[in-house]
Amino acid sequence: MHARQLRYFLAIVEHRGYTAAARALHISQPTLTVAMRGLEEVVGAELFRRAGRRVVLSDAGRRFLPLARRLAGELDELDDAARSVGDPAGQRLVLCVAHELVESPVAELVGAYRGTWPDVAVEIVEPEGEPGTAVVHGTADIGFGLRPGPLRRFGRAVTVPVATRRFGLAGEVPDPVLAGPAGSASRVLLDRLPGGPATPAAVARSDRLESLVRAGVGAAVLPLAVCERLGAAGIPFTTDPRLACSVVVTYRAPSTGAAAREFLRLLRRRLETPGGRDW
Amino acid sequence: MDFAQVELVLALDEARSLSGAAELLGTTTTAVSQQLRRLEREVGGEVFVRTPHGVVPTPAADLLLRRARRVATTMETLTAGRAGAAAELVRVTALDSAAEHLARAVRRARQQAPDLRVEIREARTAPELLAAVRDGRTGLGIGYLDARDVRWSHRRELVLDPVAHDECCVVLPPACADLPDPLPVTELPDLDVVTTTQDAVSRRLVERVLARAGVRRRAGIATAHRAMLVPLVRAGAGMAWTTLEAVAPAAPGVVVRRVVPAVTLPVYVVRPAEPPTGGAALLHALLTDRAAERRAGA
Repeated sequence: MHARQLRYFLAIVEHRGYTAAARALHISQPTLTVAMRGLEEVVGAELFRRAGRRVVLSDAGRRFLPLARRLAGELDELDDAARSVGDPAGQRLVLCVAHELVESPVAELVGAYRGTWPDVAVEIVEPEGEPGTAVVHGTADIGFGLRPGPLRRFGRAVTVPVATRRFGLAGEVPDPVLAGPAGSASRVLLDRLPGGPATPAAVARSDRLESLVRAGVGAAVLPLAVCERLGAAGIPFTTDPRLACSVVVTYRAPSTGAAAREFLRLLRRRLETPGGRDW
Repeated sequence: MDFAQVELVLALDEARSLSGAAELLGTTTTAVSQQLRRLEREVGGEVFVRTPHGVVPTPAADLLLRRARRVATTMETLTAGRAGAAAELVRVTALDSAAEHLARAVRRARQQAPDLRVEIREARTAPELLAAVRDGRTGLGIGYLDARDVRWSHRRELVLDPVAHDECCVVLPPACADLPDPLPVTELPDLDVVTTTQDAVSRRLVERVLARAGVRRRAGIATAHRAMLVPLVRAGAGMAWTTLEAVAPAAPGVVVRRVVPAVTLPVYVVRPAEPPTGGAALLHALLTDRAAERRAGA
């Protein structure tokens, strides 16, 4: 059975005949007749009978009518629900964001996004390992990560480099060196500096490094924006072209949800502005 | 959406994998994958998340799935009526405890709508019952529920209507025939209690009343089948709590006593926030209309 057949049936009842129904539905009468024959096959009985020149409901048709009306109503409500899937309003958007990217640019992006879609509940979750894996496993819609190394494939999700994040070394260099956990940007970039792989004197979560450097505990590789902030507080920093890595975004393509799709659209616009790829 | 798409999303939801859904639908994984992609293009959003471990419905698709289940139930009714008589199918999920109320309502619904078909499924626990109604797997749910369950439910998604208050009674071995009726709980004989593993609500309420009266009774045997309570008591396993609804006052070989203070159990019917239609609406009205119940009893 097709939803179409059901609507045709109801139209014949409403317009009291095939001719008027076909006209109202903008289809030919043979099309209507074929569709009704198919429906009668499914129901297992003739739905209409001739009464003189008119066509009226048969007994089976009369029994079928209330259920057909109900089913048509339920299908209309199903279509409403289907449309709501494509409407970001009222939906939830989960972003999984590496610590180094929460403050900037994700906070700004979320702010702009909420301006357009105030009804979307945005949730930012902490990554366990690569932010991309949360997207692969369906626990987040979009992942923002830093990828100092080569790109790895993540199942059905797509991971693309979108921007470059520049870092600096903040703190007095002979100081003990601080770094994030193995694999983190601050650690991998530290190893690229002259002198080869460094052994950090202390390892802390990436978002704690700034306060440690500020407190004079030691030096660390930090995003350039953070270095500049520390510089304003009198803590020296140096830059090096090697201190840069890709910002990668992971999303489910092409079938991501409406809320995520709008976020990606906003991100794309932002990337196209001058300097938009320099994070 | 068309019926084929309804079948597609329900198969995916049941199997939670593309290949499992393909098997249910008798088609190929590639075809399922293509149809899902087409549906998602049509609705303009993600309906299922593809993960390495299968597919999971997105939060945005929740309402779509519930309404699809409702359409499928009505469809089933239509195709079941192939012989010409469109026999309507209503799915009801019941906790064992509410069987008698449901049976009466079904009997009367069938008198009013002889074509009505009712499929009764068992839920083991109250949360399971509420989840079945919420997900649209069943049109109505019925059972003993208390404030704890009602709070658990998503208030906006479920509507609970009171059906009745069942009075608890105690089933005792024949040696207790001399005990008064009603029986003060403080005079309950010192016997182990045979309990059902399923009906947590009645157990909680009974325990509360006993605790207030300072009476303690050890739980002895626990059975998953309520029908075993009376036979177990008759066999000398101890005493059991049940309701006057469930046990014939003159059950042979056992002694049935009301208790004071009385313990009453609230029976609720649960329906989705969207009002039921057709046979489910009729059954719901019969369950909640106690005046009609009395008329039928007279």
